[in-house]
Amino acid sequence: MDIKLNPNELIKANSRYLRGTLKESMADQASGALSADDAQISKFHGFYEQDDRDLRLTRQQQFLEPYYSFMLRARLPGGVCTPQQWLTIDTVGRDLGNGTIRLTTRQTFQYHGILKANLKPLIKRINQVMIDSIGGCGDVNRNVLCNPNPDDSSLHQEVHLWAKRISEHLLPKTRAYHEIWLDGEAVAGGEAEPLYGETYLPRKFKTAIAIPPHNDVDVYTNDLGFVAITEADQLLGFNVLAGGGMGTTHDDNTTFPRLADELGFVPPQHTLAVAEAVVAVQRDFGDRISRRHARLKYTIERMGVTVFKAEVEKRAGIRFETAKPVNFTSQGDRYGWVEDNSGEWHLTLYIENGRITDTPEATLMSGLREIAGIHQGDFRITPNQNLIVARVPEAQKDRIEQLARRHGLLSDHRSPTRLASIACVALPTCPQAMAEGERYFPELMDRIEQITDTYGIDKSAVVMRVTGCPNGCARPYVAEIGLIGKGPGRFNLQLGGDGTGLRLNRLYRKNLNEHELLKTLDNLFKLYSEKRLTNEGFGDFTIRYGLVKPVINPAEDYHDTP
Amino acid sequence: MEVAIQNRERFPQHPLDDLQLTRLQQGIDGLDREQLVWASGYLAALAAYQPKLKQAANESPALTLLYATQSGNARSVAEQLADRLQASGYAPRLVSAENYRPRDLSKEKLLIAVISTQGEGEPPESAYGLFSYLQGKKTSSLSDLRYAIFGLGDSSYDQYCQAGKTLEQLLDAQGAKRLLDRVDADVDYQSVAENWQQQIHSAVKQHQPEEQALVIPLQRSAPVRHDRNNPYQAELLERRRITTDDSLSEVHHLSLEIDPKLIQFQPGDALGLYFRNDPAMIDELLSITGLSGEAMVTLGRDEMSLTRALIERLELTQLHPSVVRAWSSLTDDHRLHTLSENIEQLRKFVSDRQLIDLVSTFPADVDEQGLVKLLHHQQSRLYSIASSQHAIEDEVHLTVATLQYQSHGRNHLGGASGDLTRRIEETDRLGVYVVENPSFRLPTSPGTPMIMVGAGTGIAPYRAFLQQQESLGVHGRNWLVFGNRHFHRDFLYQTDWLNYRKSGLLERISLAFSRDNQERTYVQARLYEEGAELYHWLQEGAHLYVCGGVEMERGVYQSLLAIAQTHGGKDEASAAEYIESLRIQGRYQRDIY
Repeated sequence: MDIKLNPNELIKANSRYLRGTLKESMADQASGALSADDAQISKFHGFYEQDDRDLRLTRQQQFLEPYYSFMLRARLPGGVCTPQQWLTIDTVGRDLGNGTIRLTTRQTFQYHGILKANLKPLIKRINQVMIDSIGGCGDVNRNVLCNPNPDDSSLHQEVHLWAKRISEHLLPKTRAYHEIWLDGEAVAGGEAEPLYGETYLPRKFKTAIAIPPHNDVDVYTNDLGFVAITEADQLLGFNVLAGGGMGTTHDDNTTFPRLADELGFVPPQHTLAVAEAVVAVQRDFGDRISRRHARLKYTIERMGVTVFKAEVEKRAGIRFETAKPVNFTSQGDRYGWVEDNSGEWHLTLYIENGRITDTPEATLMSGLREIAGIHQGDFRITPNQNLIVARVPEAQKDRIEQLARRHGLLSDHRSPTRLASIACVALPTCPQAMAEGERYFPELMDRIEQITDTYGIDKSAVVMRVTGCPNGCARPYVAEIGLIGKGPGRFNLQLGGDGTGLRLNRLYRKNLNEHELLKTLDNLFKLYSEKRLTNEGFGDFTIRYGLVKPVINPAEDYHDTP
Repeated sequence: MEVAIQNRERFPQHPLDDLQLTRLQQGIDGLDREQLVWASGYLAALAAYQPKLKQAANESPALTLLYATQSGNARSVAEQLADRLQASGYAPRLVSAENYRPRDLSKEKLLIAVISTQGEGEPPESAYGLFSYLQGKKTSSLSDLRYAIFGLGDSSYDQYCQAGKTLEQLLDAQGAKRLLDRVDADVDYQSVAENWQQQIHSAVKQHQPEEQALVIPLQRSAPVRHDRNNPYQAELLERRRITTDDSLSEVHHLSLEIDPKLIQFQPGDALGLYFRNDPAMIDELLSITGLSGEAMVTLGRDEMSLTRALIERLELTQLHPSVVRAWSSLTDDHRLHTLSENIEQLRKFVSDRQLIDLVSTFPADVDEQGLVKLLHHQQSRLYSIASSQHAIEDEVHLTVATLQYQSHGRNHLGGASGDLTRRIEETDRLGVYVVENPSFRLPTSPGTPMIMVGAGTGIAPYRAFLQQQESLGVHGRNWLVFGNRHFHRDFLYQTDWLNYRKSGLLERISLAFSRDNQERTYVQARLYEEGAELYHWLQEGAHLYVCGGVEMERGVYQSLLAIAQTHGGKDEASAAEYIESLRIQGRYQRDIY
């Protein structure tokens, strides 16, 4: 047989439940990197090996290895943390990272530029405020998303609790993390990983909970989705979704983005059993030969939804009820102050690219630190890389707003499109990046705003998402405009998302440089300004006007011409 | 000494001493069959045509020229003298101190020694054995011996020519008589040396009439020998900075093209080189002094423009006390006069100044020839070679740190390092020659473990070592201990070491980056931390190499003392003996600058 297991499967199997030779790699002073195998294992511990790609060639000339550093992604179910935790997150970022905190589309924060020697102290310090990074990356269930809905705090709290429970329930059980980073006792004898087994999942696994009508978590893009069904602010249960996923590989027509299928409704008490069953089916039926085809979406395509659903029901020992009707109206964040039913206030701050740092223009990092110093409620990181200062009593509202304005965290001069758009990290740190992401986003946005101004569509929000590669961290395949990095300075242009995350977009133009891209957008916006219907979103327009065909079944039609 | 023991077993009858045999083995190492056949013929011819020379070396020699050199200067003086004596029909035995058996002293009739002095008045490494013999208890009377000493030194140091003085005392103490009084020479030693060689020549004639002497002159075998007086013009192939832009130390990797038939070197050797002084500095110098760059001046037998003399021939960056004194005599400045009389203050004065500082602070009336006359000739600078000729036949690699400092309102650049790292461009040429460093050599027995300790650019020779081992296919356990400021900025040749580790040639890499943490860690501390392992390696026969500055070397020595005590269960005295025994066995080799 020519078919071989993917090498990552052997690395996992030989890792003694994620220990690998991480201790030896950490002790090696001669290189800032880990051994190649450990660089795979480290992901399960929440960090990626990266290097400053801007410096690669220069350093090679200097007989120096690449400038290695690490990106650590914390586990923060639902993106909620306390002001005390924030102060530590901030200090650690200053002391042991590159002086920035990066909020992510997975509702957590990342540190970049951590040197190898600083990894252990960093993990220890966030652990002191009860934050870990287990399964931040790697072939396990990642950070669980949860709508940070500030409209109704009691409902949010209840749903958030489920996010935490799911996260805990699907956490790897190995003690490797505690042993290696927290100097925990080594566990004698064999150790079991009852759910995952010694090879864990074939690929990453993402879970989200949405509370309609907000689809800010893009629940359909997750491997496993829960849609909260409520009645009079009471949680009745969840519609369960499975098989969503974003990542594709350029020029490989066997890969495609996919929206999750609805499996049915379950009452809250079955939530964990269903979650575990979906993971177990993926564990047993997922593709362990080709990592490109290892996500649950391909497993479900192969098995068929009916067979998959039956397998989940069998393993969970439940039957799905018919899914309840739901209505989603948006996938973006709502900015500014919102008051909830209990009279507390919530301030959503737009954080460009989710990057929190101090620059000559704005002192976001210092500002948030000051706010954390007086804030009594909590912070919530949104799935659009923004931050909510949540549960503010009326009396403190003005003080917090003053601080936010003084530090450039609040501004009234941002276009709706900018506010609705996101970009991934990409260059110079992300090893996957083919083109720029967040470094390019602000200036690209400036140019796009000039066009929207020209055609008088500057009051309409267009959801635009920019990623440096086709793996889809910023969920570009459900944007009205998706820009997907193809090579240095070149992007594929995708059109046709519906602005609520319920429809995939489609490739419209390939491999555009900036000039071509802006020219194309100019034409499109001109057309949109002339031919749109009342209240018609840009994505809907591109479909109605026949610029792109809607994607109905991505496995069949995603690679069709527009 | 493992190799020597092996050799004794293999060649029980050989007439060479251990070191001679080892060096012979090193010399023919890597020759192919055809070359070996040719070499055997060459040696046979030498033996056939110079029977008495061989005899002279074997029996008690009539006249021995002994040199102990660090930078090659002492050797060069001794060689010139040998040439002169041979031209008159004498057949002196020319021998480096490390190849000289001290107990042969009692058989000598005439001994002429040329010896340089290291940092704190110590002799060069190669003369340690000779000195400790003379200071020890086993010496016998040397009343039949006549000797002369030529000491080389630098009067800007406290212990000027101290090694020569010490040698004189030691020989006197054993009853040896002087052929001539000792002569000391400063950095600009050439004219003093020439005088002395003449004196020696006549004294030898007087003492030992020619008819008694051997009559077959030694022919130098190589038609062209590139040395300090006849440097090879090497072309710069490549230069690149190998510390990052944000590093405090600017270190460059240079690759020079050489003709492998004319320039031959071994791992451990250094390259001597001449450089061009900074034209901008010379413009300033001319404008301050009001001298004309085009004016013709005489240097020895050469005539050239002042500018050219300043750029190519004269020493402008290492300010010497004697130059300050000479300059002082041209001025009425009392401060300078007072300074000139106090050597302590004078030393301090020159430590952070160059000629330009002197000239701009103390204006004086001087003409073009006068300036030339008071300046020293440019001293060649030595750099450890960072490549192996076995691996890369026609290139020499150097690792050069830019010397730069701010003082007295001026940015100063080192003379050679400034030229090598800032001014010279690809395809430019440099005058170079090889300075052998026989006391810093790879183990002769392949596979002997090596511990290589280096700080900063002191890592350079180890690159040559491992390149050589790799290209020879030698496998062995090797351990690199390196120190510098920052891991990300100053880890010189990092990718080379990582590749050697990957290929198995380098087993262990220990690092001390002094500025990466709060507490500053240096190589000596790292060695001490890993002392158990280090002692274990030594017990297994490892050779230990140390290359770097004096301070580091001292620190490493202290660590070794402590390690021998902690891990070898020795008291302080026997720890010192242990290290000394390693040194004598050639297992503790140092290259210190």
